[in-house]
Amino acid sequence: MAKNGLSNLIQLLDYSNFIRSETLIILLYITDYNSELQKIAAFEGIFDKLFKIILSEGSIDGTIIVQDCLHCIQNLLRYNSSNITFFREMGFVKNLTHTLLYSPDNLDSFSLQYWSEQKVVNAAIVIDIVRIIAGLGNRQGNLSILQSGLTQCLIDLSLSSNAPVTLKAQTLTALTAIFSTSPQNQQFFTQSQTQPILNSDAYAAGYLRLPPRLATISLIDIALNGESGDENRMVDDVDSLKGHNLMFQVAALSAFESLITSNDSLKLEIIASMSHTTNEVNYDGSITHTAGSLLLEALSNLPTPEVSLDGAFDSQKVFFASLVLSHVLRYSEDARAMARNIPFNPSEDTDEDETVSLLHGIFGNLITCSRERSAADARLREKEFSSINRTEEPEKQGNQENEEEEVKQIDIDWTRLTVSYLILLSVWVWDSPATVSDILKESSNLQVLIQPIKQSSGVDALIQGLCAFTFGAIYKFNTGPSEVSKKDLHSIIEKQIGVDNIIQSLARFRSDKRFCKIGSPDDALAYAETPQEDGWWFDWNYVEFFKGSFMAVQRSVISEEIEETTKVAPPLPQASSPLPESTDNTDHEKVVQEKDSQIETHKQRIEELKVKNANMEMEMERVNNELGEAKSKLQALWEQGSPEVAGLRGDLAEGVKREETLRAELDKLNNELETLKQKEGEHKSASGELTTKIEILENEVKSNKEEVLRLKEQNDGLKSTNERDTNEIQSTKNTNETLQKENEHLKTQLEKHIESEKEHEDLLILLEDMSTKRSNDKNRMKQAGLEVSEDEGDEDDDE
Amino acid sequence: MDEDIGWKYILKYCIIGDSGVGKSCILVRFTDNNFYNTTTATLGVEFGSRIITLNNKEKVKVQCWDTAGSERFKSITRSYFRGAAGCLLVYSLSSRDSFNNLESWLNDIRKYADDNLTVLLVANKADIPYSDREVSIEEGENWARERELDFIKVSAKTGDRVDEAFDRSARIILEKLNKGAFQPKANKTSEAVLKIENSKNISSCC
Repeated sequence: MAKNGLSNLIQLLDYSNFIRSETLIILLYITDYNSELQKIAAFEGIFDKLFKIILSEGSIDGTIIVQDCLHCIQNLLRYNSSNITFFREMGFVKNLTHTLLYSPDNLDSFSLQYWSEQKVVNAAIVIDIVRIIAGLGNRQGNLSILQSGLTQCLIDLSLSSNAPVTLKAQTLTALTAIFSTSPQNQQFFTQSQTQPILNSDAYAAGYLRLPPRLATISLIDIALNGESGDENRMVDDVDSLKGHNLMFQVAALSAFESLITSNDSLKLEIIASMSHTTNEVNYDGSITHTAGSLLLEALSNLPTPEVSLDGAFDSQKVFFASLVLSHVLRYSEDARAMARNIPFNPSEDTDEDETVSLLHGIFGNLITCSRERSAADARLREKEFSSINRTEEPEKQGNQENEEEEVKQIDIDWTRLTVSYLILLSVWVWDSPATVSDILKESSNLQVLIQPIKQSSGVDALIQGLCAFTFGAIYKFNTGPSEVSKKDLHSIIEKQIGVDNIIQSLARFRSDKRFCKIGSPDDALAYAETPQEDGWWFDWNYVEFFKGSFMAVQRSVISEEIEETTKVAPPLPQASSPLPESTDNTDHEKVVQEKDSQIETHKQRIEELKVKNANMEMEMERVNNELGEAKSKLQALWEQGSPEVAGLRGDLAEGVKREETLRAELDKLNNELETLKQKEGEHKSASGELTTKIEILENEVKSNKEEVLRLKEQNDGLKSTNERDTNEIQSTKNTNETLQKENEHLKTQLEKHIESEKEHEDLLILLEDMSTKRSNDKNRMKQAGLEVSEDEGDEDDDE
Repeated sequence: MDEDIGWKYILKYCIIGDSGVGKSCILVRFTDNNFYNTTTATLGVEFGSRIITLNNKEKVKVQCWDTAGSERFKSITRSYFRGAAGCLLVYSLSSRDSFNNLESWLNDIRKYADDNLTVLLVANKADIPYSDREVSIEEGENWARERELDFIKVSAKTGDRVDEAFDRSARIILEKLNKGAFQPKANKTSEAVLKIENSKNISSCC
């Protein structure tokens, strides 16, 4: 690596002439692949310089220089998590908001601006950069996007601006990435207001700003209807809107999925708003929709065959409504349960019959669909036949072909409708025994699914596969109490449909081009962008759901044995049994949950019994009335003395008997009600006990933890003292040793000393001896007459 | 992120030293106040940042580049020496080799980095018992004193004195800055300024 090469190159960006543009182009190549070079570029402060250029060139209004700068930033961040962290933590996310020329003060000019081709390109790169940052799945990153106002910017750009549809669609995919890991962003979105803008020459200003509505509603509206308004937008090139509109719808759908999939409260909110009465009628007669009513309207309105002949109904809308609702229902049994209570018909029609629920209504629509499909099929064949016969009449042929196309289109439309409903149903029944038993209440429902599986030809592979999948799912999850037992379904599979047929249908579905071409989340959007002949049929989420689930269905269909259906009958003896002491918190919680669900079922039963009770009472009254009438008649007859008396008497006796049995039944029911109530009370108290126990246990755990912490601290303290002590001991030992040595040394010295002293003494003694000897000798010498000097004698004395 | 507001300088740091001495752990302890027992060897360079307050008033943003220790990344990691304001030169108390290699690291720094670079010698893994130590504290202290470097003993595992390492070096950098050692945010382009900008490592916040 050349020394400082890259850094010198980056410095060249400070020029403001052609050198800068050339440098940019070189940097574009350098930063494309090598992540180490990308990091060094970031280290050398390239982001600062690039944003400075972008700003000086007019942000997204700028020329291709801006585009190059943005491309360079895109290169530096893509697949480089370290640089993304750098970008985020150094606060560059905010620069993106500025680059889009967005600020809360200029909302009006932001939502209505002129979009040149270059500007669209520039903005698209900025949005892709946002997607790269958010796509990392980094919560902090998505939080910084929210805090820098970028989320608001994207919402305004995609839902209340006059930006081109393609750009809006891209913005929605960026939002998809942002929502996927960030509840805060989800919440921010659901609380946002949007003001969609319709572009049309029909309005004096060239556009119409719709009244504000919640962002969620706008999003669903786009998913269902695409871009409202016509193609005359304020752009240089008019998009070929048909395809891009689909892309916009798909983008909205995926953004919605990302928004809702982990957001249970939003799911329930939307389901709750799914009723025909929640629409508000405005003063000018237009209707303000709620999120739910938009969906419900799309799902419940089935075109009449006459209308469909004109080709004027929108199967696409139903299709997207189904996908949207399936995203709402997926992963949430609560949402499924709530959705089962949605009425299918607008409330005005309900007087004649009991209301049909949405679930059953959809089955009704499926029946219509299958009828219309075969009708369209028949018409098509008829047309083909007639065209063969009339080849001699060329002037009519063109006409004929047009008609043929039309009929084909109708056929496809009906197929699409069928597929829509099946997608919704398959998600609805999945893992939801309650939904399954609701469906099985109506035996005709099953027939709609069975027919296409058995049909050997003339059925679209998608319909066949989805029918098999849905039927299999119903079979798999038919574990609750229902009208048709699992055993019955099993025999239907064995005798009517055939296991092989189901497996074949599933296999054919999986290998169908329309299904298997969606191999990754990006594919769905890509195919929507470039519409193909066979159309757009699945979003990634459903494909993924199907791929993850069909094996389970297949396995359960193949297996010979019918898994024992777990009876939902109340396990009463268990409820009153004492609780094992050793269970831990989670077990307790589980038990509590169980009890809760039991209480719930008991409550339901009590409700049912109450209703039954009321019915019984009513009937009793009726019987009493009849009885009274009969009695009075009898009286009259008695008075007349006619022969009818005997018969009437019999009637009377029968009536009395019936009354008696009814009374007895009523008593029985009352008793049962009483016991159930008691049981419920027991359960409640038991669950209360459990909660307190859990609390106690939690407290204990807490105190234990605290103690452990305290002990740890003590331990640490002790350790350190211990260390200190050992050190001290070591040093003491050392001194000790030196002392000992000294001691020894001293001892030897002492010994030596003692020895020399002894010698000294010996010498003294010797001297003494000598001196006495000498004095003796002197004396002797004196005595002998020899001269002896006195001095010496003195000397001797001294000694 | 309230703390994001008000920082005055960005200080570029790099962490260098032999592989396995705990450079990345020091960074993670500094930015996330966390410790992972199992980490993989850093490839190339990783980035982390945090805002610290000096002397109870001045806020600076520390931009920290954690480099790979292994030999094969040296050519890459050298690019980060130049342009850094602070450098943590790390060795491990449990590895004599990492201590012996300090000399060659310092030579690299002297060769490639600015003269104004503030180097702090960091002895990591202070949490390990004395019996496992291959290098004594005194040796490190002496080595640093001989080369006029600051010395600090830290433990990324317990978090002991990691923040202080950054605080202390940041304070030294700021002192140098106040004495005019760095040229914050050069003016516009001209040949002379470009040179100064070459050695620019502190930029004022926008």
